[in-house]
Amino acid sequence: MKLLPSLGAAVALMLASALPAAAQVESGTWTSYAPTFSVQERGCGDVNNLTFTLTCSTSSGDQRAERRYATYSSGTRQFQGFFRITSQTGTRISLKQTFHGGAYFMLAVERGGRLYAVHGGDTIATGATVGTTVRVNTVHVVGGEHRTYINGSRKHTVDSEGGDFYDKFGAYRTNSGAGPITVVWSDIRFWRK
Amino acid sequence: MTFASGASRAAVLLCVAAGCSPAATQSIQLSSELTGDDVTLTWEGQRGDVVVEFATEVDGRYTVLDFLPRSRHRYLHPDLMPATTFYYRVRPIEGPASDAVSAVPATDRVEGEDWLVPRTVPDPLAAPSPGGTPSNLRVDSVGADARRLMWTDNSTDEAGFLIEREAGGEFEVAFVVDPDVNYAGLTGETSDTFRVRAFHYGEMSNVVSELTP
Repeated sequence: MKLLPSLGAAVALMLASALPAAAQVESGTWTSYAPTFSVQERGCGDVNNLTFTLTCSTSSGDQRAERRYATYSSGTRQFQGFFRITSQTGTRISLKQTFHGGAYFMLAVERGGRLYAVHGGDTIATGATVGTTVRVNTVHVVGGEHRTYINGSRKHTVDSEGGDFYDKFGAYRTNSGAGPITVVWSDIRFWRK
Repeated sequence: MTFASGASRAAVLLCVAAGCSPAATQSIQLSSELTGDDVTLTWEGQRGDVVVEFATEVDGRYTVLDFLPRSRHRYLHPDLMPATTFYYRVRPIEGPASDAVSAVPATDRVEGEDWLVPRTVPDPLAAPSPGGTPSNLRVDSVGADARRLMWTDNSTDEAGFLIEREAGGEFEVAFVVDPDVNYAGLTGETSDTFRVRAFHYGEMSNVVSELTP
């Protein structure tokens, strides 16, 4: 156990001033970076900065409101973001995706707050109800594996082959889903090594 | 629900600089233990329900892990990210609760899904004041696992409302809504007895940290 207040004053002040402004998770030398992105609005999707809304209950067609980030093909990439669903009457909406050709990893939410992996259907976490902020970290070792952490805990792992990948987040109707939903993402960060 | 931790960092540094003991000034004393990649938190000194939060930077953004009733003094945070420093704090949840109310069958026909959206509904019965107690709670059963709650918001300074279900003789948090909300729909909910609390946060515990392997 480490009780912060038991540190000496000088040590504590040095620690506070030496900490990087953006601290990634996991080991190694990470470099913060800001990949470019494009905004995708399809069907009834609407994007307002980091607020992503599907305004309709249409259960067919391309309904999406997302950011699509730049393609990467090597190294290890880390994503961090916080989402808060502010309104949801729809269900089975993907919030975060890693694409590789098609969707390789899709984190989705059902009405009631269950988070699940679209491919395979595994429950990743529960409790993502309206009003609750959830922290998401993904670490992707290209040619190795893709790890997903929800609120700091490892919840999902899938093998990864090599090739081109890119991150997306926002709100995307899955094949079995429909809106409406509004989700607000915040404090988005990327690192690589 | 997330919270900046600048205040806690300032308090920590001030306390260190002054050479004081946090246990002497803080009502909740938080301890942690790392076992493998799990952290177990234990605490004492709380007088009511608490919220457990974590961050991975000393002055970083805190995220709620759970709301826990006063009978709980322990929280397990499992399978943590490796080589990462986790910071934890516990804060009391304070504020008045409405009377507990049991669900009755809805008298109207519920169409579509709009009934699920938390909202503020005009309420002529509201008598707002600081620390006011929610009143007039009504719980409608609109399906086998669906409940609709409405209440009168009588407070002006709440951080939000906790919708609490009765479970095992005490209440636990089922749902959290923003300040001023007085209507919410729940799905996947089979409990019949609820209450609503206008809550605010009490004095936070000391901050503890663990570095995972």
